[in-house]
Amino acid sequence: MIEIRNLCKVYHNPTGDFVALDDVDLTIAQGEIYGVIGLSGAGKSTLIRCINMLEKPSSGSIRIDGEDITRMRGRELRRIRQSLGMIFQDFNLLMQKTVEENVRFPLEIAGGKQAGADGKVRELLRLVGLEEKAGAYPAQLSGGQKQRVAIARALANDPKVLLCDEATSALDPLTTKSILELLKRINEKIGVTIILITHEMKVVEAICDKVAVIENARIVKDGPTAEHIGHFQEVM
Amino acid sequence: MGAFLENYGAMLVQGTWDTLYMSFLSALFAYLMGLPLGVALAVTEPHHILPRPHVNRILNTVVNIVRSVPFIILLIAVIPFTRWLVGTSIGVTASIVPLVIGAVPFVARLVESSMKELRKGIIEAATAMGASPFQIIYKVMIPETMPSLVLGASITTITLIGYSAMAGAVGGGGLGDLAIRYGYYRYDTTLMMVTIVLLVLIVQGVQLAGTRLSKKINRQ
Ligand SMILES: Nc1ncnc2c1ncn2[C@@H]1O[C@H](COP(=O)(O)OP(=O)(O)OP(=O)(O)O)[C@@H](O)[C@H]1O
Ligand SMILES: [Mg+2]
Repeated sequence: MIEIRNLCKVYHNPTGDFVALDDVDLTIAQGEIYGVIGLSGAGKSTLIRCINMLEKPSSGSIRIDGEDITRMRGRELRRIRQSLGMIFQDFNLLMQKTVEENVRFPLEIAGGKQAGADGKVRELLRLVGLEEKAGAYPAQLSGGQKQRVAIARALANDPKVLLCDEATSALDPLTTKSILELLKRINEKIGVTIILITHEMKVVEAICDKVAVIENARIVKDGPTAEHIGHFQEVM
Repeated sequence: MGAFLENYGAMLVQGTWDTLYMSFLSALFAYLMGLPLGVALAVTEPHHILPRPHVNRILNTVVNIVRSVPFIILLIAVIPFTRWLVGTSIGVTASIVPLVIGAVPFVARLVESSMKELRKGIIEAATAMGASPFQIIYKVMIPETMPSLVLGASITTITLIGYSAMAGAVGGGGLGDLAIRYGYYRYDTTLMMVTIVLLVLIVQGVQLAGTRLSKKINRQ
């Protein structure tokens, strides 16, 4: 469902060019939870941000259900982005909107029929266990609760893919565990493909079906999680 | 005291009204133009949602040019334009023209700096959801910075109260005009003090209202 081929990203700095992704190939199947692990600066964020074109790749292709997102612009790009949810390390919630309004926000952006919006929002809040916080503002929530809101928001437009950029790195171990369990449950329940980047082995072990190791802008190893744990422990 | 009020009461009420009218109306018009301009200054920067280096440079230059003209000079320089626009260059309504011209770039800078306080990640999240630049501006940037915009609006209004005293002195009208005509030219110190007290009260009131409102709407 997602096929990344020969992906390169070069940042042009005043001090010179910097290769952040070097000829990356990756294939992610429908419904998988795919982990990308690597040290700080390896290029993890750059890779995941290329998948929804927050960063524009320098060359290569990223096919999502056959459509190459790297060739898309304007309206077409915005439409496909609606089918790619994303959550971030620091949540990025709208601070002046309630939990409910945050979850409704992507529906407003997508426009069209608003009829089922209320029901959809309620259903998502139930899914992430925050029904009673519907009217609260993000500033009144804990980190874990904020990330739950962000997850509900990312799922509002029924995305095919959920991109997670260090989604648990700002959370304590217990909260991390509960967020990972939630992601696993969502993956099983609605079949959304999850791509998750992290620098923590235990995150990969906890939920990833497959994993790729990224090192100095290159994928150095990839495959089913179970087969690779030993190797990662050496690398990391 | 009774005699003072009898002599000057009506004039002070009129002057207060004129000052409020000039500063609030020009603040309103200044925002109609300054808000879009300030947003444009922010979004056309490199790495923002509508990066346009040339447009950005031009807007910045224009804003800086207008901002670097001292208000007292701007006041006189725009007289022909004011005459063309409102038919006269004297009176309270005519004073609004230079006030607005002087305030637009000021407002634009305040709005720009409010927009820059917004964390980049929030805009990025909206982009990732498939929001258009226009949606990001009016559904994310403006609502998320509203408490800061409200504070900016009270700063603008207060600045305009000060400027309106100058505009009034040149064009006629407002408390500044009274203070200069009676206090300065006729050595009426009492009237001068009263106008100053009134101006202080108005400024305090606007600042207090702005701060309160900003706090009240801020959910962060
Ligand atoms: N906008 C940019 N301009 C220039 N260089 C950049 C930019 N973004 C990232 N880089 C560089 O690219 C490399 C990879 O960055 P990236 O953010 O993808 O790393 P990461 O693996 O996510 O690291 P971390 O775990 O610290 O988040 C880093 O060396 C970084 O300095
Ligand atoms: Mg990163």
